[in-house]
This record gives sequence, structure tokens and C-alpha cells, in this order.
Amino acid sequence: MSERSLILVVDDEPALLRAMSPSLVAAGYAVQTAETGAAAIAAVASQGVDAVVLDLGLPDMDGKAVIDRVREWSQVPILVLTARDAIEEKIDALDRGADDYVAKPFAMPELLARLRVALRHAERRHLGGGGVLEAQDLTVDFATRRVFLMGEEISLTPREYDLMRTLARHAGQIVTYKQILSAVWGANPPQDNQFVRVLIGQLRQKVEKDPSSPRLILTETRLGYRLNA
Amino acid sequence: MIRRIKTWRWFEAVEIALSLVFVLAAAAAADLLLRQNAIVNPAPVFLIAVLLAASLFGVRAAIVSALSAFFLFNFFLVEPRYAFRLASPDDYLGLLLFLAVALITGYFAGQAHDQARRSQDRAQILGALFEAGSTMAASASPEEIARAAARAGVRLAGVGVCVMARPPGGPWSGDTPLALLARDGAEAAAPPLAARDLDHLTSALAQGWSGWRLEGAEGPLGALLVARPARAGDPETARMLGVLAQLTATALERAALQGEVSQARLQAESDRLRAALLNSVSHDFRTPLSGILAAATSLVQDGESFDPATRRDLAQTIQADAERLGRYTRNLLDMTRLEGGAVRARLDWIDVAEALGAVASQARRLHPGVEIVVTPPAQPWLVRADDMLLEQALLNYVENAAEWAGDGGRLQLSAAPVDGGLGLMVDDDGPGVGPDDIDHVFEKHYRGGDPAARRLGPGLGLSIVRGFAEAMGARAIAESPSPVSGGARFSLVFPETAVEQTP
Repeated sequence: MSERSLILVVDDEPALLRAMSPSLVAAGYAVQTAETGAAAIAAVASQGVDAVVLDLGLPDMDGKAVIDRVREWSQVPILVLTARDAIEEKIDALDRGADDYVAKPFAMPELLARLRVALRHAERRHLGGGGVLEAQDLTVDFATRRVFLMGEEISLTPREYDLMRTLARHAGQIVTYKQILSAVWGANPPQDNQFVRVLIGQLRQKVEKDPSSPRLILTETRLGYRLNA
Repeated sequence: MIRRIKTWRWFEAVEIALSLVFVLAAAAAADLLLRQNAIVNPAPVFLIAVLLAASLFGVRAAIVSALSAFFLFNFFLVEPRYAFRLASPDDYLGLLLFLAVALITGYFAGQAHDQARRSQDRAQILGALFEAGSTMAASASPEEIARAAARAGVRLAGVGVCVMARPPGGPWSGDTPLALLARDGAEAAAPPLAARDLDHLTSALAQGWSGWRLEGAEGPLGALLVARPARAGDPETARMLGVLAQLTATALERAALQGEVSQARLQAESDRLRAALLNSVSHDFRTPLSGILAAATSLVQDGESFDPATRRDLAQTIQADAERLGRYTRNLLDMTRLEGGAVRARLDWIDVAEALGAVASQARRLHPGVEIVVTPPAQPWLVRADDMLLEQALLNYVENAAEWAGDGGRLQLSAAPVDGGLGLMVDDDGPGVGPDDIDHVFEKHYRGGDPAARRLGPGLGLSIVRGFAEAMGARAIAESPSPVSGGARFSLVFPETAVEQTP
């Protein structure tokens, strides 16, 4: 990267901001902080922010409202910080367009890893579609709709491929049940997560070395799945 | 033959018509026999028809056939024929005698028949009541009780029936019945019934329904409403509908009481838990906090004078104790939710293999020093469980086992049929659990006799497993030694009713 990516960290806890900043800077990012939702929206609007780390519990407005406002005009990656057991809040934030989440309390390496993935994803999107994704032994060629495992092509049904592609497009990031349902089943997707679970099971049989101990397609219980890249 | 209640009136008309046919047939036969001079007196032929009608169709048919036989006899067969006049006073006497005999024999034969029919009806009514009663006795749900009452009501009255009652714990909503059954499944609208109208049911009466109050110990609970026109007009049916209403009221009250009792039990349990939690906070949170505070203050005070290895060591102490504190907090939150009754299992069919795989991948991340092996289940099992609770329960097992097994230890996750259902198991190769402790491991703050166990922190993890298991209708079980590894086996056992195999 020629230029340092600018990360906006939105949290109303100064101690946490102080603790996070040095490590973000050490990882090669420029850091800007905001303590309110309004300040965060203003910062995204006025400066070339490359990614947002957003705490959902802000003093002035609901963090999810910040996602809504930002998504009105910007595709900047948003990483939300949530409480561990706030499962519905996580689903809600992800469905509103957050890219990923990190549960509080978190360790810095975890946050940095998620941030890296989100920035990479944004960059890929910026470069346009097509291309090839490689994750562990898996290769997905988007242009030809072909999938390889250790160089060997594997045959997938159209649905399995659509699922593989959706996961691969967001490699390293969580993809919710809802996102999978609409990506694979189209405009009027069924409302039952069981469809997704069954399809994931089929896909794992084909791409995992040991389907009972998946290392490639990870389950995010109740939320969705994540391609481990 | 079992007559169905709904065809009652139609049947009666047919019966009368058939009786008349019998008499006409008798007249024709008598005419024929008279012409051939086979008989002199046709009266017995008519009597046969009357007796036949009486014994088949009852008293009413008997009287109708006796009277019609009397007229036909007179009109067609007695001289002068085809007129209601008689030739001699003797004929009068004979004819009147015939009428008397026909009426009397017909009446008695018919009564015997009616008696039989009434017993049959009563048996049916009692059957309907008995069935409703046993369904109600087995049920704690007001909706189910109401449905059973409505079903029996339809069988008794032969018309649409609806049951209005106060929903459990809720306010009276007089326009949505708990159960509404129309005869033959036809649509029917229930009459709205205001709470203040429960005493007299006038609004229902005005809308063409008959009503029986469901009398509770503390005033009316609701009403059993029966559409008119009904057999409810018949006093016997009305009495039986009254009995049904009483039965329903009793069942509804019992269901409500049952709900209250389990509420009270929950309250007592939650008080006990609260006391234990307070204990946990005061004792177990201070230990890691002390470590954090000591390490952090030495770094602030003398950080510059320490060599890098010492600084790193202190920072790692802070990290380890903070992580421990994080785990305690999570456990405490889980326990608080459990004790507050806030844990509501969201049950769904969960693929066991997928759940074990998800737990294993999380466990590997949390305990990189421990080897974690998943043995895939032999069958594609599904269990009825809450995905989050199941995952957390298994992770708590893993956490407990990993702490005992230590770095370099080995855990095994598997699933197999066990006594009473399907077991999801975590086996470790740690030191195992002593026979004195094995029965207590799921108790709150139980750490066993080993003083070294104190450093493992509050014994909440396994109690949470038990709480989550119970919330899902499963059981938490500990065995030591494990049948497969040297250490202990902890399992969640789902009952057979909550287990399925994918096709």
C-alpha cells in the first residue's frame, strides 16, 4: 500500500481509544477517533476514511442508525464492536450493511485481522468483479464459475456454486443467513435457515478434507458462515 | 346401526313414511289373500305391519301405522268396500277391537324400541363426555381443553359450538373464542361476549346462541356457547351440555393453578441462585483483579527499570488475568440470565455433526495448546436444541476439560446413542473426577476436594451447562473414568423425542 489507510475508530470510551490507537498505528494505519455518532458520520462524509470501527453503544445515537446513514452514500467497510451475547444486535447490524463484527472484550490481534480482511475486500470490490480467489487449498475462478481443490476441479451444482461464490466474494468475512438466502435463491428467497444449513452441508462434503471438522467454511452459530481465508 | 345425531329429523320422516308403506303393503296382501279366499279375517295381516313398524321405529311409528291400518282396513276391506260405512254393529265392534289391539301391541313394541334407542344415545353422550374429560385431564393448556370441550359439544348438540374463556394470565377478550367448532367444519362466527355479560349471556342469546356459564371458584371463567337451533332444546341434551360446561370449567381452573405452582417453584429456585451469585462475585472476581492491579501498578511505577523480559511477563499476567475475568463475567452473565428465567431456548433441529464441528473450531482458537479431535457421528443425527445454548454448553465442557487436561492434553468430541437418548460427549485425558465429587460437579461453586482447583475460578461453568441443558429439555451428565479416554466424560443427553435422523 503506497499510502497509509485511514481508520476511523468510533467509541465513547477514551481508555479504549487510547489502548487501540498505538497498535493500529504500529500496524501501519492512520487513526482518527470519534466519540459520537454524529461526529462519525461527519468524518466519513468529509474525509477519505478507508474503514470504520464502530461501537454500537454510542451516547448520542444508536450505532445501527450510523450504519444506515453511512450506507446511504458510502460503501466504506464498517466493523462493529458488540457485546458478546447481543446476538440479535449482531444480526441486525450485519443485515444493515456492516461488513463484520468483533465481540467485546476483544484482543487486538483479532481486531487487526478482521480489519485487514475488510480492507482487502473493499479493495477487491474497487477493482471490479471477476478474478480468482484463493483460500487454503481452494481456488474459485469467478469468470469461468469453476472451483478447484488442490488444483483439481470439483463439480458443484449451480446452487452450491452460488453459495461458494457468495462466501468467496466475502472471504474472511461473515455472511449472514439472510445474505446467503437472497444470493442463492434470488428475489423471493425462502425464509428458513434450514435451507442454508443443508446446502452448506453438501458443499462441505465436497470442499472440506474432514467435513466433521471444517477448516474452510466455518459456522458462526445463529449468524451465518465465514470462509476461512 | 349407529344413528348420527345430525340426521335425526330426516330419519324420523323416513321412518313414518316406511311405516305407511308397511301398512299399504299389508292392505295389498290382505286384499289379495281375501280375493283368493285364503283368509277370512285380514286383521292379523295389518297387525304384522303395525308390529313391524313399532319394533323398528318406535312408539310414534306404531301409532301412525295403527291409525292408518284402521282406516285402510275400514275403507278397502270391510263391506261395503271403498267407504267408511260399516254393514253391521258387529263390524263396528270388530273394527274397534282391531284398533285397540293394534294400538296396544304397537305401543308396547314401540316403547321397547325407543328404550333401546335412548340407551344407545345415552351411551354416545357418555362416550363424548368421557373422551372430553380424559383429554382435559391430560392437558394443561387452556386452548387444548377448550378444543376438547368444543368437540364434545358438537357431538352432543349436533350444531356449532364455541368456548369463550379468559386466556391464561391475560385480559378477557370476548371476541376471540379459545375454540370454535362448527358442525361439518362449516364456517361460523362466534358471537362477541363482553366480560360484564358473562353472568347472563344476553348478548349471545340475542344472537341466536344458547349458553352455559363456565363457573369457576371465583366467578365465571367464560362460557360454552351452542348455536341454535340445537338439540339443546331437548332437556336431556341440555343437562349434558351443563355437565360438559362444569367439566370444562374445572379443567380450566386446574390448568391455571398448575401454571401458578410452577411459577412459585421458579421463584424459590431463583432466590437460591441469587445468593450463590453474590457469593461468587465477592470471592472470585477479586483474585484476577488483584493480579491485574499488581502487575499494572508495577509497570507504571518501575516499568523503565525492568528488563524487557520482566515487562513482558507482567503484561502477560495482565492479559491472562483479564481473559480469566472476561470468562467469569461471561459465566456470571449466563448464570444471571438463567436465574432470572431470561434463558428461553429457541428450539430448532440442529445438525449434531455441524454443532460439534463449530464447537471444535472455536475451542481450537481458545485453547491452542490442547489437541481437539472430533469423531463424526455414525449417523446424520439432528437434535431439537437451541443452537446458541448448545454451543455455549459444549464450550463450557471444553473449557472445563481443557483446564484440567492442561497444555498438551487431548479432548475428544463425539455423539452416540446412549441410555435414554442421544449423547453429545466431551472426553478428556485429564486426572478424572473422584467418586466423592462426581455427583456434585454440576452444583454451583463446587470445586471438589482438590485445593489446586481453587485457581480454576468459580465453579459456574458446569452449572451453566446444566441450566442450559434443562432449558433445552436435555440432561447434563458426568462420568469418570471416561469409557474412551483416561479422564472424565461430560455429556449432554437429548431424549429420544428430541432426536431425529436426517433422511
